[in-house]
Amino acid sequence: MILRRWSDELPHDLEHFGFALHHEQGKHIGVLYHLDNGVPRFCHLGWNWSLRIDKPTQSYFWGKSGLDRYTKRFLAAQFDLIGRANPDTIPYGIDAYGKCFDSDGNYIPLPVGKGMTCASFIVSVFRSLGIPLIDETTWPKGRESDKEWGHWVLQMLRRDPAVPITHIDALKSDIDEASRFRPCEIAAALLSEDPPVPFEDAERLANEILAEMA
Amino acid sequence: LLDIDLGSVERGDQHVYYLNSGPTTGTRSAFHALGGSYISIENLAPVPAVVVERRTDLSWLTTLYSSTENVRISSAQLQDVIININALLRDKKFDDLAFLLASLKFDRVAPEVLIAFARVTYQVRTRIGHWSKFLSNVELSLNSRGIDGKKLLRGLRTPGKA
Repeated sequence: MILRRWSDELPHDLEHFGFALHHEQGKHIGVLYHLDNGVPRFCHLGWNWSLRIDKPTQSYFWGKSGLDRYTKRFLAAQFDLIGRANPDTIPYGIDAYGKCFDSDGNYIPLPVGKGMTCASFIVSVFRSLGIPLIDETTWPKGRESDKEWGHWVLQMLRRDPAVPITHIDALKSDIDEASRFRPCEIAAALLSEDPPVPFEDAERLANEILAEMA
Repeated sequence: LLDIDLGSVERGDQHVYYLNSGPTTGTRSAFHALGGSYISIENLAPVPAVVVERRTDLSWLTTLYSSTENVRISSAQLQDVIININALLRDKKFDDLAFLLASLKFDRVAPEVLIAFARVTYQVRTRIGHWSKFLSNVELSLNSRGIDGKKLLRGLRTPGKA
């Protein structure tokens, strides 16, 4: 097994930092970590203005990061601080548009229409710390199933009365133009000991992960 | 700069940090480049020093130093390091940060602390004097402990590359 189903106990080999991927087609991802108290935490961008630190549930599979143990302890501490500092500041969007966090770990307000997904949130934090998780230049734009997903996002944002209409209107053009980092692809990248991971490698391992979770 | 011994004195509204013993020529030059000057402590020969305004409290740094080789740090301490660096960044105290990074006792802090200093300051590295030298010192310190410094610092040398 590449990933393991989450049980309520903290796995002894998590080593402070990893990720949790939703079992249904890997539709959602967040980072899984613990501090010295050994309490597992799941930091994830749930939706618009909703960065959360939750308890992981059995709906998730988990994997440990391929990075060294020192960096993983640092990442656990850093994601915990970011999660607590930015609970309601990050908009949901298809294109994260470059630099998203300043050196304080605070979210830098993006142009109208830009925002993050659960997966691009992780990529953005890593990028701000000088860890290129994926080779973004190799990611394809406008995959057909990504366009379907983009229209679904648009629909869901329209139903949310808290989301400004200007954000939704500006986001439309990203459906065809932006690269989408799928959660299972970012899961594959997080497993790597040697990032940045090119798209071809991430896609291959992501397909294996999805096949195992099915 | 791997292991320099710092002292500090109060002078009016300022903290003055100075090199305590045996500074090499290279260390003196580095201090000078950081804006440091020379002061006399207790009528001894002038030593390199850097003046830091009183409101910049760097005392938290000394709590990280271990007197043993088995350097460990708790998650709470690690988060305090990140918070303290962020406070300096928020106040744009890049000179203080440069001083701090140059005077760090690399071999007496945990590897996680070195990683935190390097990665949290990465985005403003061009504004921090001698940041590349600091990174080299981190790598040397990690290597001396049998840790692959190059691997741990991936992505920091060349933007966009690991």
